[in-house]
Amino acid sequence: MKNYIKVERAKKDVTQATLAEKIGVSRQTINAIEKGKFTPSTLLALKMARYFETPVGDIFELEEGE
Amino acid sequence: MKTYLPHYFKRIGILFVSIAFILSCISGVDDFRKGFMKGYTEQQGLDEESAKVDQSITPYFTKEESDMYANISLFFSITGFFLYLFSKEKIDDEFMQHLRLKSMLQAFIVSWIIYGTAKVFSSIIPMDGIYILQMQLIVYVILFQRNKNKELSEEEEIALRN
Repeated sequence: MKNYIKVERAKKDVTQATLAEKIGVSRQTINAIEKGKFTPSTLLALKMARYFETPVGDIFELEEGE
Repeated sequence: MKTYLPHYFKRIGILFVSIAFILSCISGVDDFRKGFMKGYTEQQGLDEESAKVDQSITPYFTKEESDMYANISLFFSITGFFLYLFSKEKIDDEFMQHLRLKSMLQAFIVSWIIYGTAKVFSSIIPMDGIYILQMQLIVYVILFQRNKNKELSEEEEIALRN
C-alpha cells in the first residue's frame, strides 16, 4: 500500500512529531507508516484523514497486485 | 498484546532486576572466591596450594543459604521482567503493540537457537525450564528496545539523505 502522508504533511507544513501529537500516537508510528513498514488501523487512517481534511483514499492507495 | 500496568511499573521492574543481580552476586561470592584463588595459585605455579583451595577458604554462606539467595534472585528477576513486559510505554499505540509482538516472536526464536546450541554442550551448561524462561524475557527486553530505537529520527533521515 502506498501513502501520501509526507505530501499532506508538506502541504500543511507539519512535522511528524506534530502530526503524531495531534492524532495521539508516537512519532515512530508516523515514521513507520510513511516508510511503509507499518499499516495503520482504520481508526488511525480516519484520524489522519480528518486532520488533513482529505478523504482517506487520497492519503492511502492500494498498489497493483494488492 | 495488552498491557495492564502504568508506565512507572517499568522502573519498579528494573529495580527488581537490579535486586536480583545483587542477590545473584551474593549467592555466588563463595564460588567466585574459590575460583579466583585457584586461578591465582595456579598462575603462581603453586599447583599443590591450588588443589587445597577448597579446604583453605572459609565460605561466607552455607550451600543452603547460597541456594536460597539464588532462588530469591530468580524470583525477583522473573517478576521484574514481567512487570517491565506488562507496563505501558509513554505513548502506547498500535505500532508499539506491533513491535511488542514482533519482539516476542524474535525473542522466542533467538532463545530457542541459544538453547539448542547450548544443548549440544549440555554436560557443561544445564538448562532448566525456569532459566529458559528467564533467558526469553531478557532477550525480549533487549530486542524490544532495539526495535523501538531502530526507527530513525527525522533529523537522522535528513542527515543520511544529504
